[in-house]
Amino acid sequence: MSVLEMQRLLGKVLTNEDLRNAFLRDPHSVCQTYELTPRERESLSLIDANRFKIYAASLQEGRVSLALVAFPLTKLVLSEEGGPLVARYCKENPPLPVSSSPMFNEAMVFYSFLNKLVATGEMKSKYLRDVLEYEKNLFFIGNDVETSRSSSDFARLNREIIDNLTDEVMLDSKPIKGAHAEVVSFDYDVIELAALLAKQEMPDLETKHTYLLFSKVPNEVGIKTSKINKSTMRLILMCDGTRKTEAILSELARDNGTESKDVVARLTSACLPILRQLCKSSVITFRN
Amino acid sequence: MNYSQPKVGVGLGFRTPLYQEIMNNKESIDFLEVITDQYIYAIPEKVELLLETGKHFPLIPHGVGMSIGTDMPVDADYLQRTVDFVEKTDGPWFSDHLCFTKAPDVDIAQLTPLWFTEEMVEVVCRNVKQVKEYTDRPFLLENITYYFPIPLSEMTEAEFVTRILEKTDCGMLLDVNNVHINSVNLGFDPYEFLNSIPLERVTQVHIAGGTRMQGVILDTHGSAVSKEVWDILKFVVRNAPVKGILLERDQNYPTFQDLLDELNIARNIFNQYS
Repeated sequence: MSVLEMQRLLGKVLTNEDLRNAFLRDPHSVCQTYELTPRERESLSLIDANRFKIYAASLQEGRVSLALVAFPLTKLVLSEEGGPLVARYCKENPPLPVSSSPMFNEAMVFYSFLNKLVATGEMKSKYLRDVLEYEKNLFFIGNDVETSRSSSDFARLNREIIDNLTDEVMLDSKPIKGAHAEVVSFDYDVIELAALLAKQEMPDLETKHTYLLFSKVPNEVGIKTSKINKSTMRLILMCDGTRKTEAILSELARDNGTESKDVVARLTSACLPILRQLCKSSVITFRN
Repeated sequence: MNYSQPKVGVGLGFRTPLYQEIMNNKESIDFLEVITDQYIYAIPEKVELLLETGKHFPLIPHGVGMSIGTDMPVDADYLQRTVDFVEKTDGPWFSDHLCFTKAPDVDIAQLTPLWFTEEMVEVVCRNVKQVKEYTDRPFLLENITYYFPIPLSEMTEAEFVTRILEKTDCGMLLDVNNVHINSVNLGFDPYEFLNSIPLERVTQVHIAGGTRMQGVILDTHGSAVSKEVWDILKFVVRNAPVKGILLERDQNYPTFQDLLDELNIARNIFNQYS
């Protein structure tokens, strides 16, 4: 077991800066907490400290570089922030073994880390939240196995029902959005922002609330991104499979302060074509 | 060892940013090496797209996360996914690195050197045996770049590599850039190293360029192939039954024509010396 113990120690010391500093100051003390033979302890104590540090630093940089493959525009915005982000990320997020794509896993952990810093106000770049959220949805929906399966399942289900999807059927069914689709609000026109950042330009945009629908294209590598308005966003968010379309429309009418038949009728004629289109593009499906 | 693998020529590491240029220059690229780990957990559409690309090129899977040197069995799920992927690509062989990347509770995620000891030879041989129980496809082991040797080894790296290749009857993916970098960083003669390993087991070769930083060369795959690496490549092609040469480029991409020029240099060496 002790070769494995030696590898465990090396892994920990290489990926944990505090432990590494302790190891390089006094290797024997750190080695004492592992079940090693005297020869293994002696070997570890003789490791070239400078080379070891260079390698450990490259591991840290490598983790963040891997994560940033998913966030190329976020990387540009982050360059404004500065600070010891890499070391802090690695310290707060030890690299645990996982049975998933290394890049997918690192990207999602990195997203959570940055998202927390944005939420707590530690990172203040004005575009960071928008760009991070935009790229996270593009990457996650485009690469997650579950969202891929969901989009294929919805496409198959909808092929079976679309020809018989009358208004009456829709009103009497429960619409549900798939895991492969997300609606997200942004503070800026994130499409314009992304286009400018992609040209390496750091723009100065005015606030402009923007709503996007991200959806995985069934059976293809690709994400469809559509600008929607706030009402459509609300409608899609209500497609959670718990209530019939009829109930959703009544609730939307109540949101408008009335349940009059005229208002419900207007909402019905406005919303049913949208729901039908969402069904055709497999963003939602209908359940009984 | 079965030496009947086909010659695949001169290829390029498949990277998404290079996709369009690769497709535009199909006639100049003999095969593509694909990183196994990018596909074994991927959505099926991504794998299908790769297999479509594979209609134009032989695909050779190359892994980075098997951790063949960890003193525990290879992750069975990882191994099964790898073998399934190898079968899908129909690669003439597949490969991973002679190193460890994982230990219990920690994923180092980079190619970390092994201790060159008898015990470690046994560990690797046991794990290679496990791999071979899953597939009959030839499995190659690649030498890594390492920045610090683990002291008090019982043998040299060349002896370690030789013992493992012979005991497991595996082929070798010889990364000549790694040989060059290690020879500079660790101070040894690369040709002495090459003369000490079983070159007759070298099936594939990697070439790449590194980056000098903090007094060492880092294996970044981010610059042009150096003269020293071309010279080592000539030596290897002259002395080993090389079936394929693969150019790795992962960052700091030059124009695609620059990559094609490097492939042409490699092809000339392959044709002239093999």
